Amino acid sequence: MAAEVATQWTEDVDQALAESKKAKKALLLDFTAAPM
Amino acid sequence: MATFINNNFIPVRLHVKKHPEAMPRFNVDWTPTVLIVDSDGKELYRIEDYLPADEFLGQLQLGFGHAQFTKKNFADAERQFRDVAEKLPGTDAAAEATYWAGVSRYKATNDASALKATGQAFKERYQNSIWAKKASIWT
Repeated sequence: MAAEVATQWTEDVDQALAESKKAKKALLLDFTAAPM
Repeated sequence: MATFINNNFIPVRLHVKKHPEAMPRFNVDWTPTVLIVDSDGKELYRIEDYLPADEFLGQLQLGFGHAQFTKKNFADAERQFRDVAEKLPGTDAAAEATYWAGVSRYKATNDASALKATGQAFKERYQNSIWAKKASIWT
């Protein structure tokens, strides 16, 4: 059975924006109020 | 779903109690809200409210297609939209994806037959959708 892949979430928006420029990928921002 | 997200985005999860400053920054008033944002912080696509997993994936892939379209990557956008229409045909995203696949092909080729073919496709599926009505002018 294949291992389940987990989403590699970060919480730092500005670092993610910088990474976005380098990786040429858009950000996916998930705003949640659910227990984490 | 996680593979699609990891492959195509830098994923950021913000809990509203831990990061309340992020909500006004991105004009978010309600949760759950998911945004696709470019590297300058410009919003490209917005998904609000809870959706079942297949509907959410459809909307997410639709949003990725729209992000490609905004960047004028029309061939990539068409591929993404067709993928939604073919792999998630039972979702609400499928009709919209069918419409935008046709528009993307037209934008990539400047061939109006792409629009006519899209209008024809809506005579066979999603006839009651708003997207069929929008595409009806092409037939």
